[in-house]
Amino acid sequence: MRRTILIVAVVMTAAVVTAVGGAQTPSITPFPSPTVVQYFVSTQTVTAPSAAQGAGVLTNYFRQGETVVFRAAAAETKSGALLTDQSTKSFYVKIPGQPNVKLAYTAPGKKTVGAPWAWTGSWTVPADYPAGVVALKVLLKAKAGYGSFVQIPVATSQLTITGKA
Amino acid sequence: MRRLLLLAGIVALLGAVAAPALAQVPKLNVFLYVDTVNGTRPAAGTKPRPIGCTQSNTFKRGEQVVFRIWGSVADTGSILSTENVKYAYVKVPGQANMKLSWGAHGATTNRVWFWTTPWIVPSDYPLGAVTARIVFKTEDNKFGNYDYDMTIVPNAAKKKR
Repeated sequence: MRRTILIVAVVMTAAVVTAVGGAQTPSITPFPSPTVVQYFVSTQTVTAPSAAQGAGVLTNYFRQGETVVFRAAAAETKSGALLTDQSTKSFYVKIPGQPNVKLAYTAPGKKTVGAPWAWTGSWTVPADYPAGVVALKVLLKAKAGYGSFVQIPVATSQLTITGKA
Repeated sequence: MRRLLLLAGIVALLGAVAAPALAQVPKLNVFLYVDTVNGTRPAAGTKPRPIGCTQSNTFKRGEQVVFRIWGSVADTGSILSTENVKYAYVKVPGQANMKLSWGAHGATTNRVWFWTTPWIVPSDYPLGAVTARIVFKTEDNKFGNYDYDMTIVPNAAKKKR
């Protein structure tokens, strides 16, 4: 009888420990955070019309003197509505050591599949801008609060400035 | 009475003008961020790029495309993960659907989780513009769709074997 009670107690303890361990998954770190609180913000960097490849080519590598085009989209959590210039107070790219790059709105038309890149801004990399990864942030202020975008922390896929050709 | 009717008319007119403008703002159930980077494992005989995992939407035949996606459910704000996604895949025209995997990426000191799937551009894949469709279905039957544009170019420089 004592053995049976002991076995039952051990099994129950193991079950409780497993349940607690199973409920927590401390090793999983969803990018960019477990939840998007007020606004979802998406941003990419593409080439300018002056680039050798032409306009709108996705890349994260730019030389000093080249122009980085930021394109962005934002939507409100809860309602799911894409933000327009009417519902946005400020939307800009913050680049270390540089003036903020204001994003301007252009109505995206009827496209609703994918990110309608309604917001764009450009930054010509100064000739003396330090080479390396640019720790940019995209910051949004709208009627219901704030939103932001940060780059996926994979170094080779982040905005990087290289020397002149 | 006339004033009331006039006022009602003006209000109705303003409403009619404003309604289409409001209706034009698209609403989404699921938000998605999508990009592509070059994978470090291209097809045999295809020269890898000097740096792996750089963003690009132009790929040569034989190169490895890696789709990277993260997103959230609009009404709850929850990040899309295996906890709330029923299925997720990438559809490239002429290819079998590619299931997206939820996993950890990045440096060991700063690993984060998002969705990925690799695709090696077949040696005979049509050149030019191609649009991949990314599809997410959540456990509560909400869809997130995203059309992602890429360009496929010839593989001029093959690695000597």
